[in-house]
Amino acid sequence: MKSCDVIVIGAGHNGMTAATLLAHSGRKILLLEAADRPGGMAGSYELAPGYTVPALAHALSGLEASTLDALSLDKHGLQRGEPMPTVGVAPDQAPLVIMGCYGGQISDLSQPQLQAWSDLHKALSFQSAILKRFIASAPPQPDHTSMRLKAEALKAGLAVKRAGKDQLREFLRMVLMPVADVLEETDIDPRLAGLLAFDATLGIAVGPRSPTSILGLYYRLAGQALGTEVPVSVTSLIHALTAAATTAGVQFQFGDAVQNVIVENGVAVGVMTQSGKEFRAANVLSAISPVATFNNLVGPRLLDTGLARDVRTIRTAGNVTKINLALRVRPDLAGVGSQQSRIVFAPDINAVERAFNPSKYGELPEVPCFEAVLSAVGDDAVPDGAAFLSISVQNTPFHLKVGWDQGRNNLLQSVMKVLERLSPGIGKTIAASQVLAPPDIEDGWHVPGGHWHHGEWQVDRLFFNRPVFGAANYRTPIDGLYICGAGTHPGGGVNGLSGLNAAREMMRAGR
Amino acid sequence: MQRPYDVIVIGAGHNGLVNACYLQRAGLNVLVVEKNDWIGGAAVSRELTAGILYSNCSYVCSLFRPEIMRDLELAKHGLQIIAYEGGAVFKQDGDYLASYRNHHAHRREFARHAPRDGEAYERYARDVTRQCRFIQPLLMRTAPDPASLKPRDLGELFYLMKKFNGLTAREMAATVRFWTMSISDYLDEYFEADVVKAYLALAGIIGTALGPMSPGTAYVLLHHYMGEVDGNVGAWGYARGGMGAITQALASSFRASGGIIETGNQVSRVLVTNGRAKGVVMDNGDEHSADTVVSNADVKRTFLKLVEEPDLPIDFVRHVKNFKMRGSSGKVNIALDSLPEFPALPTDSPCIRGDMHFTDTVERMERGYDDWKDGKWSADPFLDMMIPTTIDPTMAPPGQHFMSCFVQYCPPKVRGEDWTDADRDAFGQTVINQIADYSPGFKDRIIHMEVRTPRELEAEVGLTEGNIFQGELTFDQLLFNRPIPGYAQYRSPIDGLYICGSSTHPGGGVMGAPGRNAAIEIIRDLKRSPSHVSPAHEIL
Repeated sequence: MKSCDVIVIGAGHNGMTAATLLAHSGRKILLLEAADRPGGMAGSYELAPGYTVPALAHALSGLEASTLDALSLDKHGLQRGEPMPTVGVAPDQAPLVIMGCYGGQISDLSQPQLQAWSDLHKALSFQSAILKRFIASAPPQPDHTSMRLKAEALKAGLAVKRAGKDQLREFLRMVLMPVADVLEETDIDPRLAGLLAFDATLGIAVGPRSPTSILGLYYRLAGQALGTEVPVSVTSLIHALTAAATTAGVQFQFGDAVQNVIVENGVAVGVMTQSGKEFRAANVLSAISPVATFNNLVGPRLLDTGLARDVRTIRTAGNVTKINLALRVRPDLAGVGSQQSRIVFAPDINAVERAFNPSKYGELPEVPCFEAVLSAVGDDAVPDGAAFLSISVQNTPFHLKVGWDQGRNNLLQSVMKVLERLSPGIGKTIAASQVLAPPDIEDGWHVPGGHWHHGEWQVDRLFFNRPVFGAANYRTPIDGLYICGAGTHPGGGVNGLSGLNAAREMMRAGR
Repeated sequence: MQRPYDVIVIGAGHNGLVNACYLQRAGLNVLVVEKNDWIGGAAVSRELTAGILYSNCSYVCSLFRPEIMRDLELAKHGLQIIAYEGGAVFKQDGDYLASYRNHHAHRREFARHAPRDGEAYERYARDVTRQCRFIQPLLMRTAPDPASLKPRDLGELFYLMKKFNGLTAREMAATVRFWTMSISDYLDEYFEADVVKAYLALAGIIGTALGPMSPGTAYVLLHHYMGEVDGNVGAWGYARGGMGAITQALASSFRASGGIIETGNQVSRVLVTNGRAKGVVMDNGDEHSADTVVSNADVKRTFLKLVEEPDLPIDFVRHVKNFKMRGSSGKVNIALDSLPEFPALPTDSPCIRGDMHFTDTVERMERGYDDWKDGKWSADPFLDMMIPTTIDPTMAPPGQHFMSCFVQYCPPKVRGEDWTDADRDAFGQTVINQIADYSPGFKDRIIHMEVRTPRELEAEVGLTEGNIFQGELTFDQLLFNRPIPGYAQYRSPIDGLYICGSSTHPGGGVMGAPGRNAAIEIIRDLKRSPSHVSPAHEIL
């Protein structure tokens, strides 16, 4: 007997987005979550008494008004805020303050440097707007393109035609370049170059001198390119998503992980949970890591050899460590106002590249580059006068030669060394700290490899190759089994796009 | 004032000569001018020390297009390519990985290091050959300009699309991955043994300013695989008499059809009047007039040194300045009084007649690249070492040998400063020490050695920053982007001025394709018949 129409596995933002959209269409949805609260990698936890903070994801990127409208999130208590300022910091250097997103005001730059940045920003925005057209729907396939994408391609072609030949040539030249080369062709401020090099490579196993690293910057800019990105806090988004899903009639079940997908005669007909409960449905949508879906929930026995081999080649080793610091006193950091702020330590391009080098060999950087989100003055989630510093440290490989037991401490010390130089005495104000290295993320969130994007986000694993060819349209070779989440097109970032796209594909297919 | 020529080719490198041969055969009157007293550019055989000939820059041959050899009758003019057998990677633990031309022997050797790698080699060879088949015909075609609506460009774009559409969907997806992956990631999908991966990765980095873990290096691997010797795709060989044999045969073919080569005289600038090339001015004040000037020099030397900046559009000059051609390799040429011994190899192993390497993990290669990024030569460099005299007896007296060591990575400047002689010697010593670690008594066999850094390459051959490919092989500098978007069809903003070196599509290696493709464009512009130019043949 079928208990519902669709079983969604995983109550992360993509799973909830897909579940809500499917529920709106009148389908009966059961959403199964292993943890005892919703949110997945965008969820919150209590770090220390009085500090309830986002565990992993601390900032959104590419979340668009259209996504919020599709789910009517504004009706469910979504709080829109101001864009977070970004502050580029380095010891012995004046901070670089960017208000709003990249297009906003930048402090303290000379006129020629502002001009150089404005020219580059224009070119990058134009180029990322071309790519953006292809991320808000199922990806184009090499042998098949939907009418919608054909129309988008035509529109992109016309936009380029209007912009002129030089713009097209420049796009075709730059699209796979190392971000460092793009930045070094201009005269922009070295601090800004370091910041952009960092942003382009965060969460991906490339350095700014690696070809194709410009893509990370495009992806970040894509939300902003058309000016539709909405500033919202992660916590508020998850609250609103949960409320929207509940209102839409999605039935949640927490605290019982799915053990396996039940496949009968090559068709997915339901799931079995770890506690032994069986749920049946016409369709199953897995919003967890595609590697976990295929290897753990389905099992290689039910996949053909080609797919099983392809799944093995997904590069899942994560390289970002999250350090959560509960601070008794809000630290004094130059350039940072009373708002919630994103602080980036990436003094210049070479610093980012040098931090990347050891990560290739399973070693930690001597001087790590990181982004830290500092809570606002008066944030309810922390005690009065206190603060929460949420740090994402780049280039911290899953397979660490010395092992993470030692690595956690080493990394915390090298990050604190930088922080002490930026804000002397900060170390003494720590009330609680936690280091979540890639293996911790693997264990805590059921993501093999602990990768932010559930798998490397590089050109060879985008579009029709994400997660692997043959399962790139949110469909899998197993009838009735669908996938979404960061491991699928278009990839990570708390923006709900893959959940939206997958739900729409399922509805289009009459599932 | 001397009698006017139809065409002046600047530089007698292999591409300049190929270009000159085709133009002369089209009935044009061609003069080749060369700054050095000898011809050949980076494909030369010179005397290293008394009695020992050597290929001082390029050292092996595979990429040179057979269509060109046939069109220009190079065999008749003395060119002979001998495929070599074998090769080895020496491991730090005393073992080695041999390579053999025989596919089955090669597979068994892989399987000796990791049982699964033997089976994986079958899949790998099949997949890489498929990529070769896709790319090889593109080498001998002018890249289309994607921003142009000219029938010819549209036709070429259509050809590319048709070719791509000829693949199955799965193959298309795999092709996109292959073009954009790092060679390290690509090999990880097939192989287990570190030494097997290190052996196969080397073709992904030779001549590039990238490490094996940089995206895009899988394509570079292809660049080294799509050559052939006598129809054996992927095979490499020695030119009998050294690499100079190729340019000597080209010069002989050129002269036989009536062409003239002038050596020992450098072009100081290209004469430009009203945006049209009119000839060249030589360092000694001579002028040669011609309505067509073809530069075999790299794109930076051609447009930043030989042409006055006001004659060029501002955007074009900016692009030329941004063109990346950082040198990444050096060369150590050694004359030996006897054949060195490598105790790791079995006695009389054929491996010694091929390419030998001492880098047994991809990590060591990548660390070498990290040094280069910091402006240092690799402390533990990657060597592509060979002893051509084990096969070619014409290069050294009996018993003596010439050893060629291609060394990567070697920066164009040392920590931002110019190379000094002391730096150069220290770099050479790093290389010798590495060889001596695997070959006892090696240092005592050395009669003479010559160390070449990017500085020497630039000074002698004229390659800016010592980049052996006249420009890095990255996506932004390939196909219609090479060398400059909008100027990828061998023409320049100056009417009548063309470029035909490796800075142009399809890029570096002793291939001859840029010279030939440029000749076709010139022949079209001059409304001559290209009937003597064979089209690319698809042999795979």
